[in-house]
This record gives sequence, structure tokens and C-alpha cells, in this order.
Amino acid sequence: MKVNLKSSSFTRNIRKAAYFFLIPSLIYYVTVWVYPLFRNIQISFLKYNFIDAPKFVMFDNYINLFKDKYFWNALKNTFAYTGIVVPILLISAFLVALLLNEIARGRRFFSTIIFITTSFSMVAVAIIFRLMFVTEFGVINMWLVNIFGMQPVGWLTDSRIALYTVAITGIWKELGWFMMIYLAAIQNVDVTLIEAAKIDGANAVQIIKNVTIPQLKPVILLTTIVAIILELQVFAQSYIMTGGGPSRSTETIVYYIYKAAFRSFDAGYASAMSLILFIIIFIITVIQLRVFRTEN
Amino acid sequence: MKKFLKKNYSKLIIYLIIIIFSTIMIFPVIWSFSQSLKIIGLFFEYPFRFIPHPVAWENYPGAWHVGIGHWLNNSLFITIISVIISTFFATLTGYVFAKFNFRFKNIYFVVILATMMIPWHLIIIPLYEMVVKTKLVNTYTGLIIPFTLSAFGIFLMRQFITIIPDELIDAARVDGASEIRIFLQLIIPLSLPAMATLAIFNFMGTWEEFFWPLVAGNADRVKVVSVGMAGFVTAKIIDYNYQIAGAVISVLPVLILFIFLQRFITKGFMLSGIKG
Repeated sequence: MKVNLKSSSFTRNIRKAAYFFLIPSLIYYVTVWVYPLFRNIQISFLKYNFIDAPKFVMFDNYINLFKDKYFWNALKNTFAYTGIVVPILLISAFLVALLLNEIARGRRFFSTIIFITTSFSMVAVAIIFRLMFVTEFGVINMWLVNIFGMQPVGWLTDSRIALYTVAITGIWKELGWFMMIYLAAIQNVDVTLIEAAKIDGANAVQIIKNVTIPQLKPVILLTTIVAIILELQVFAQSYIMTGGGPSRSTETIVYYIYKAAFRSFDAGYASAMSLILFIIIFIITVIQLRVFRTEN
Repeated sequence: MKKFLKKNYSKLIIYLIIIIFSTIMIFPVIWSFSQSLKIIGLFFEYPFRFIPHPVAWENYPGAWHVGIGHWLNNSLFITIISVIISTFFATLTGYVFAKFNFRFKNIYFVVILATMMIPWHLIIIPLYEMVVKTKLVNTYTGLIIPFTLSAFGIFLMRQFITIIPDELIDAARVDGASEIRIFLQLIIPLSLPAMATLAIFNFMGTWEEFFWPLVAGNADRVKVVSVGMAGFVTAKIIDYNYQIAGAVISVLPVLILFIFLQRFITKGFMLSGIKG
């Protein structure tokens, strides 16, 4: 017996199945993403504490935000953090991946060691680094004092330094992940191109600059976008390592959103802040895509 | 000869850099394991000793009694349930995008991928409102719901299922298999390697989630390990040895997954990469 796959009852069944299979994802995306997105916009125009009846206040939340020096401070800290972390994170991950790709023996071993940090949750990493960087008697300062004869550094107690310590923590946690992405991408680079370049007498640096990197452009763009989005949302380190201090020097925007929404229960204010951060992320991403497109 | 020397010389430098770098990266890991076995009096000893003396095994039961055991149970339960659900639905949705045509397919796919760009905190305030109104705050259900599907999972499974030949599916249809049966008995068995990879990624992601459980599951009964540990270390208690032991315990499940299933993880990076 032969069944005609193009027959109408057959295709109708298949189409029905497609819509049926889409139901779970539709339910999920509508309830967990689409509705909350619009609701967030709505809440940002309300004075609302999750319990009492909300009051419509127009642009009050936004106006208050622009007058709030702690909001600007949090924004500044978040950008400073992202500005420190993203370049160091991506460039060192890329360099390590390049180096690992050059060696045959031990590549697996060393990549595993570097990648293992990824299995540590941000909370665990923050707990560990908080204790490593204790000002008095912490292991880092003990080495600095006893081996290099330096003064103890206020890693988490000096408001000029704490943000850098928080940044070091973030870099350590995420480096292995990006290194692995780059390593996978580098190994996918067309070998024949590299061989051809070698025959033409190109040295290692020339090959990397003229063959490897151009081929990796899509990955580099993608990782840059992902890293910036990720770092702009830094939260756990502030919560665990410093509580935003000293003197609000490590208070990031998401931490400030958390405090506004879930400690002061000012949902409208927090929603307005969330929306502003989202718009910032959106603009940065679009600019990156544009720059990338014009370059090609 | 000269060339040989030069080549090996640069290899040597590469190895040297890699070794130094790996040492820096692995140091906090080793440090935390060795601190977790020190008595509190020797926590800040100098010179720092990698092998503790005396070995304080009691830190682990100590941390366990602080609450780690209970939090770990909650974490495992929530993580395993959401991994099962999200891996299954990601496979289903990935299958639809890979092998079916329907209206608004491309727009819907773009919307799904766009959620990867939307910061998590933007939806958390309305989500919190939702769980409060539906009385799901401080329940396992409320903690699991946001993690029952992921854009990354759908994308990964679509990539993988696209490779499965259409002829296989059509042959099953000719044999009279229903669409649900085709999915359950043909697509799922063929997708198991990718599903395993996705399950590991989902496990890691859900395990380390902090913001949502902090907001929606702060009651002792449902507290997960990240929230419990965060509360413990920020409570200004100086049980440093318990804090470190707790941190080590909290990473062990993922660390064990890592060591035994690294093959799948590496494949995930290859699969999700650039070729889409």
C-alpha cells in the first residue's frame, strides 16, 4: 500500500500536530516573558508595594530616578564594572584559547583546569573570594605583606578598590566559559587556510591576525554582546561580598533594583530602573550589531 | 638545528604561560578545599599550608547542621524537576522549529531568541507579583516555573534535530505512526546525546540561579543552597570554616557532573557554536 505524503488529510494532520506541539512553549513565553514585559512597563508608572492598591503616578518614578544620586552612582558603578571586566575577560580568554590550541600535549588537562571554575556558582565564588581578600590576615594580603613587604590592601574595605576586587571575582568565574567557546571556535577554523598561509611563509602571529581572527569574527561579536549583557546585570558579588559598600562603591544597578523592589517594596521605582537598564542594554547591542555589519 | 631550537623555545614559553595561568586559576579552588578542612583557629595561619594540620573533618558535618543539608535537598529537587521538564519541552519545541512549517514561524523564533537578550531582572518584578497573587510564593512550583523552558535549549535542540533526515520521519508516517508517537519513539531516542548535553547545561544554570529563589523562595522550608549560603555568610557570623565548607559542598554536585560528563559539555560548545 502506498500512502501519498502530499495528500491533504496527511498535511492537515501534520499541521495540526505542529500547533499542538507549540502549545507548551506558547504558554511559557506568554506567562513568563511577554506578559511580565508589558506588566513591567505598566508598573513603572505606578506607586505600588505588591499588596495595597496601586496608584497611577505618571512619570514620577522616572523623574525621581533622574534626581536620585544613588541611581547615578549605581549606573556609574555598573558601567565601570562592565568596562573593567569585559575587555580583560574576553581578551585573556581568547589569548589562553590561542595558546592552548598551539600545544598538543596537555591541552585537555589545562583546559579542564581553567574550565573547572565554571562549575562554581557565583554565590560560592563570592563566598570564597570574600574570605581570600579579607584585609586582616587574608591569604592575599598575608602574601603581599610578608613576601613583597607591602601595606595590606583594603580589597573589600577601601571604596577606591572594592569594585576592582568584585571585578576580579567575576573575571575568575567566567573566564573558563568564554575560553571554552573560543577554543571550540578556533578548532573549527578551516585548516587548509592555515596550511596555505604557512606555505606562503606567514608566521604564527600573522596567521592569527590574518586568518584565525577574521574567521572568528561572528564568535567574537556574539561573545562580546553576551558578555556585556551578562556583566551589566552583576548582582551576586555585590550582595555577598560587600553589600554594596563600602560607601556604596560597589552598589550596582541590579542590586539597587533588588533593594528598591524587595527591601523598600517600591515596585514602581524598581520597574522604572529595570526598564532603563533594558533600554541601555538594547541600545548597546544594536550599536554593536551595526558596527559589525558596516565593518563587513 | 637552529630552527628546531627556536621552535621548541617558543613552545616552552607557551607552556610556561599556560602553567602560570592555570596555577592562578586553580588556586582559589585548592585554597577553598584546604580551608574547608582547617580548624577555625588556623583559618588565617601564615605561612599558608595547603595540607591542613590537624585535618578538621568536623567542618563538613558542622556546615551540614547549619542548614546545608536541607538547602541541598531543596536545590536538588528543584533543579532535577526543572531540568526534566525544560529538557523535554525544549526538545519538543526544537523539533517543531526544525521539522514543521507553520504560520509566524520565523517571527516566533526571533521572539524566542530575543528573550536571551532581555535581562532577567526586567521580568522578575511582575513574576514576583504573579506568584504572590497565585499564592505560589515560597513554594517549589513557584521556584520551578521560570525554568521550565529556555531559549538556549530550543535553539540547541533545533540545531541538532535539523540534522535528522526527513526520510526517517516520513517513513514512520507512512507506517501509520501518530505524530506524538513519532516524537516520543523516534525523535527523542535519536536526540538523546543532545538532550544529555542540554540537561547538563540546564542543571548548571538552574543550580546556580540566585536572584529568583532569593526573591520568591526566602522561607526556610523551600530555601535553596545559593540563598541559604548567602544568608549564612552575610549574617555577620565568623564561622569562616563552616562558610567555606558550605561553599565547597554547594559546588560538589556540579563539580562531579563536570568531571564525569565533560565530553557532553565540550560537545555542547561545538553544537551551539557558530554554524547556525
